[in-house]
Amino acid sequence: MRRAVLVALVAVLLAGACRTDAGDNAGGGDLEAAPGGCATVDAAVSPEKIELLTSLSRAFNDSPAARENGRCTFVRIQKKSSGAAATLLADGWRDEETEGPRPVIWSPAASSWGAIVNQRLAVKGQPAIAPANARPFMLTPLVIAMPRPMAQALGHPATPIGYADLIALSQDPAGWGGKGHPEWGRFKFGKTNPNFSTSALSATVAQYYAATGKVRDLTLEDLENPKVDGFIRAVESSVVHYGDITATFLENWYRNDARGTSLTYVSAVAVEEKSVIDYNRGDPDGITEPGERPRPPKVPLVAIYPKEGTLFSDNPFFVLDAPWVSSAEREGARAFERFVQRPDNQRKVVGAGFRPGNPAVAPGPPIDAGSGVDAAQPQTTLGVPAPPVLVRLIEKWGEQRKAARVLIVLDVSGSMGDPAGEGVTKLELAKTAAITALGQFKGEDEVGLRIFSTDIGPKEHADYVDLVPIGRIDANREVIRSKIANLIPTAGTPLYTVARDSYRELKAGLDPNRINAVLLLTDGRNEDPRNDDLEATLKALREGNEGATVSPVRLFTVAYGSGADIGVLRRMAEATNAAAYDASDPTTIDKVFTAVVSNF
Amino acid sequence: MPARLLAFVAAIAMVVGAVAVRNRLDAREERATTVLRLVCATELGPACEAMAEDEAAGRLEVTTEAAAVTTGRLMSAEDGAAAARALDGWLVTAPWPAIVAEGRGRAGLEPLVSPGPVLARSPVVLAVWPERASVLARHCRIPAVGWRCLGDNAGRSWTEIGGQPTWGPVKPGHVEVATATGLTVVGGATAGYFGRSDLARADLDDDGYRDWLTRLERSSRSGSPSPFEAMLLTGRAAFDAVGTVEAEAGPLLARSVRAEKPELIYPAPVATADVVLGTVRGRRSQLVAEVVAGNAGRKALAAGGWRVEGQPPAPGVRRTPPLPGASGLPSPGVLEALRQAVQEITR
Repeated sequence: MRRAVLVALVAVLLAGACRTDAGDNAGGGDLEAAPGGCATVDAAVSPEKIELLTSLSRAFNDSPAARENGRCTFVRIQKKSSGAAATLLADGWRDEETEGPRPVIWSPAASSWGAIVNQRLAVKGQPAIAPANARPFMLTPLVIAMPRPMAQALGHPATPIGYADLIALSQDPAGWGGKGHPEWGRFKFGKTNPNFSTSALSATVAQYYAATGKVRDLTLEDLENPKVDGFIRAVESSVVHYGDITATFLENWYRNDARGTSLTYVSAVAVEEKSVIDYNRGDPDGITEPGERPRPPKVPLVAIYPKEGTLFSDNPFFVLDAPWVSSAEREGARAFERFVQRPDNQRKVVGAGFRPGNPAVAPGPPIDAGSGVDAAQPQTTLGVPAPPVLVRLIEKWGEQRKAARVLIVLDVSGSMGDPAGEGVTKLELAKTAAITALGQFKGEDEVGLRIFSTDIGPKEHADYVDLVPIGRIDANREVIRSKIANLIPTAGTPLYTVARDSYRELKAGLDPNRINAVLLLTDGRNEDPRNDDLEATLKALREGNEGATVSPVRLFTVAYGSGADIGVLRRMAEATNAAAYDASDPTTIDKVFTAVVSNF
Repeated sequence: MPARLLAFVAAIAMVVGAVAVRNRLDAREERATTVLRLVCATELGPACEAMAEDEAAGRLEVTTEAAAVTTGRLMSAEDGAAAARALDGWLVTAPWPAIVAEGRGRAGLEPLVSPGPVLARSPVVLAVWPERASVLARHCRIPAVGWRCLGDNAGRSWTEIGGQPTWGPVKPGHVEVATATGLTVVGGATAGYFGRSDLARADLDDDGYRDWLTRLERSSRSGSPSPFEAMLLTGRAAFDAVGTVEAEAGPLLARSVRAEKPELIYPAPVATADVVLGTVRGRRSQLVAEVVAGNAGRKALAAGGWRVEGQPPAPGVRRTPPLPGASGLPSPGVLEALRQAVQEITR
């Protein structure tokens, strides 16, 4: 039984982890070679600290610290999302060509990922590789980000706010009207998918604790308690959509801020404290591109530290006890760890918006009220549940999450028949990915299938055909699977028409108790002389997504293959406060499709 | 005649001196050519590493592990000679070698490790946020927070005892009982509960004590980083009160530049973690003892925050309160029973 639970834990948690971020460093080809005579110490780190650790590694490599005790160490940093790295490590990190070199140091977002790797190895009868005594490199607590006026309407900062308050607000038919602001509409919550995102996993754990009134030792019995179930469903019912990364919400919020509509897009989002700091300095994704000049938003966010308690992302520094790590590499890794823990380097951590991992450094600006955060908070941390509880918690979330109503719109234009490598066409790869992703929908989700290409349909809508009308997927799953399997490439790409019409149809049949969305995949550009007006298409998509009474439909787009018009697809997605996904490398479509469906 | 006697005595003295010098040179040479295996309790790891880096220590090979791990291995080793070959010295706090000896005795196995004299000491402390220490003391009607008051209120909501609603429950913590100092802390807490340390195993079955211990342990957390370090890193979020030893808390607190710091309380009766070197029979154990009890060892322990006679204390380590003559802990047998009790409670 225990073995089964552990297998399930790994399967569930790592299902999401299988989605390697498109931004992950795919291989080791672009990594610098170590100078002769130096031990190379490869480090795999989660994306939010890639800039910081890359800069620190360069400083280390050029410093006397890299030559301690007559040893020469050369540190190389590669980006790996926590879940993806956990999967690779548990499987022995076999493909260095594709995934980059096996790490000596692993720094995921939270130490719980280390426990997951060790458990997975234990199931296989292998020894643990992530030491239990790893130290945090830096910390950041999970918070609920809210626009300052909304937080103030709830009594912030004088009144502590928690999940229970947000539920009460989400259940109030008057919405923000009950707080004197009917112009803000209903309360809307933004949260990522806990199968994919560390912050979402933490937020879901925090919700369960809030539901039970506990701060530790969540039990399986707690999860099955009907009152707890009701509490969780109430929170989830206010979710606008899910997703794999919190940056989607923050970037959409930022764009809405520019248009003056940030208070109606979403009311609160569960993110790490660092994200609030980044947003308020005008850098919603936390990555400053060369030449980018951050512009602070008009309406800043504030971090709400839930009164029920929260969890920290502790960014551990695992020097792996793996068979591929030599003693020289281990020594070198420890030298680098000592280097990053130095007070002068830990001050850089603070500068980046994280709390330091060395008590000799005080958390200072930007961790202050000016950035919308409070260094004296949180007051209570929550215990990480035991593995079997965590497994069940995620399973339960799959049942309790808000249901979706989704129209999958697939491009079957002629170019989809182009080869995608290894003897398969782009359409064949997309079909496999779409069929796999169907498994992510829960039974009560409603899903339909539409294909589009020039003159493929009947006279009234010549550019598309509905192969399966929207209906419950528990009844439709096999039909959709079979229809997808039989797709063949045909003619041109009437992108604008199918996007506009699909959006309008979803809008017309909107179900306010569900996430309503269109998932559109295309490999080309609009090739329709009957409708080549992009601005009119964007206007049509944008209308209805603004204002307090908005009942939004999201258009998630996937740019597939190198010929896809990623710029246009991004603008379409942003017009509906959704996200565009880049699968310009066709072989990534499986992972990208999984990521898109994580929004539902 | 007196001249001849004097010459004879001088000759003897010269021979003895030469032998002593030769022995010292031999020992240094021996240390330089022999790999000595020193196993250190986790908390003493940095001090051991520092000893290994001292040239006078020769070739010291340091392994660091939790005290309970070494104890388990030594306690169950049926082949004492083989176990002895794997270890030349074990630097740990006092009860552990005695626990091994008791365990081996009960199992009918030959003695393996002998504890040496106390090399360094550190008192058990309670680190508490000042405003929370005041609320607890007021609620318990005592001048300063002690173990009994903390255990009685562990896990209760702060609002029930006069604190703020945002403080959540009373959150204690201490290093794991499987570690060298963790057992000392829980032993000190138990002595604090009873107000004495001359306890028998049967005392641990007292209902009132069992309830108190259960409440304390079920509300406590441990892990990495240590509870005290987590307290400094995450402020009041993780812990309200942490039990540890001055050797950890003093230097960390001195290095911390945070505006707000927990205060250190030395609960009465004062209990101490006493560092000893457990040795096996043989020449190599003697060589390890010379290093650890010598200047290099004493300096490293003092730099690590331990109170070492004749050595200047590390920053943050006080000279007060003066330490009692004995550790103030229950006997090793009672401590071992206590360790098992805690493991049962937290399983």
